[in-house]
Amino acid sequence: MSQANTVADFLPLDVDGLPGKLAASVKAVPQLARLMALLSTKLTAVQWKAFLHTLAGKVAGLRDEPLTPILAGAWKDIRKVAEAIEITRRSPGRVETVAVADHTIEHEQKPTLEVYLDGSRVEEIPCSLSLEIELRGLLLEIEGGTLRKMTTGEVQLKGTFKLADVVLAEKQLQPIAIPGEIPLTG
Amino acid sequence: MGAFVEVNPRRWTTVPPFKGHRRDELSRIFEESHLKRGSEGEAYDATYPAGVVSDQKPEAGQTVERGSQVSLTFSRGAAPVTSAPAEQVTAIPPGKPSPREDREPEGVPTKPRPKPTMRPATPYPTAKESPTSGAGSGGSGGSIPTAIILVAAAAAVGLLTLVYKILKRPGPDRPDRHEVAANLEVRPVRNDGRQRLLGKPPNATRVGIAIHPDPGRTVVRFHRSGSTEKEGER
Repeated sequence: MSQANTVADFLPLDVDGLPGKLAASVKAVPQLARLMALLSTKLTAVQWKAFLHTLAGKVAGLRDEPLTPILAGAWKDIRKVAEAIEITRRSPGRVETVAVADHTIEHEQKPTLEVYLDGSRVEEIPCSLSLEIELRGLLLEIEGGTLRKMTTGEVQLKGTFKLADVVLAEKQLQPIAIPGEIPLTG
Repeated sequence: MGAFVEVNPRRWTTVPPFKGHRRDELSRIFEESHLKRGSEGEAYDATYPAGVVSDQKPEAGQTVERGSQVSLTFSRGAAPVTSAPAEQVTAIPPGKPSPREDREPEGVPTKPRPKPTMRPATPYPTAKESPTSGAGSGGSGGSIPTAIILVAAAAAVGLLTLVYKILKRPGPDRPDRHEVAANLEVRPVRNDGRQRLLGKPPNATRVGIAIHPDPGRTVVRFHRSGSTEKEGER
């Protein structure tokens, strides 16, 4: 069971091999094909490869999303948790522990990579990150109107990371280890 | 009954020739001849250069009383020889007098002059030139009319202004609205003339990659009792 603090921990990528994967995906990704056609008049083949290396670095960087803010953002709107936040805000020093029923958090992000040529945007490459997190036996500690700590029994995670329609990383639902107690802010 | 003829030479004077004299010479002539400046006007005259007295009343040689006024007409040079659209003449920058206007003193009343549509081919025609050239019937003898030169100069200034605006417009080197995540400076296969004009390295192309983040959408589903949904707040 792997321990995951960020999405990248759960969805690892072969960053060194990613430029080659992007080059092989040019036909499947119309944005990359257009970009290649445009830049072929400006760049040499070596420079195009250098560009793909830079692009790969940026694509891989999109997974550097910490998991806990995603979780905390989802829990804040659960009714019991919202009530505890309000109570502890009114009573400084009081600590509330909330047991949250088993649930699944579905999270989706669609960032884009914008490519600029001499300051003008010439292409926009859509990416998507989908996560499904199953949590059982969750305990939340709330103090002063904020989530302070979480303790989980079992966590399973499933995720997909795509560049346009090309899947770059994917993992089926599998248990992951989240540190027994995670301090939360917010 | 006799007739008396008053003979007093000190009362009379002979009108000197003013024609052909410039304005700055007139004060001395008036002072020496004990005459006063009368009305002044301007007229096209191919015989005399512009700014020079071309006519006077009374004529030179006449005997008049001292202190009499002499009316002068100043030459404006030869009359225009051809017509041109009025808007071409207005190409002269506003507020900047033309060279001909520079020679006119301020406050001197002048006759309402016909609106010139083209300047004379030569500002100081000589008496040897054809007299018909001042009547607007002749050509300019192969020289380029001044109005055309002015219009061409104005067009050149406009073109240069346009080029300057194009070169100064915001764009290529300016950071975009997002955080620029990476920049590559590479040498392209082709040259780009505009880049050279902008003073950049002649063969440089800048390729940048920016990340446009998405806060995301989050949904919470409880396994037993329905679901709660919320939008992501990050």
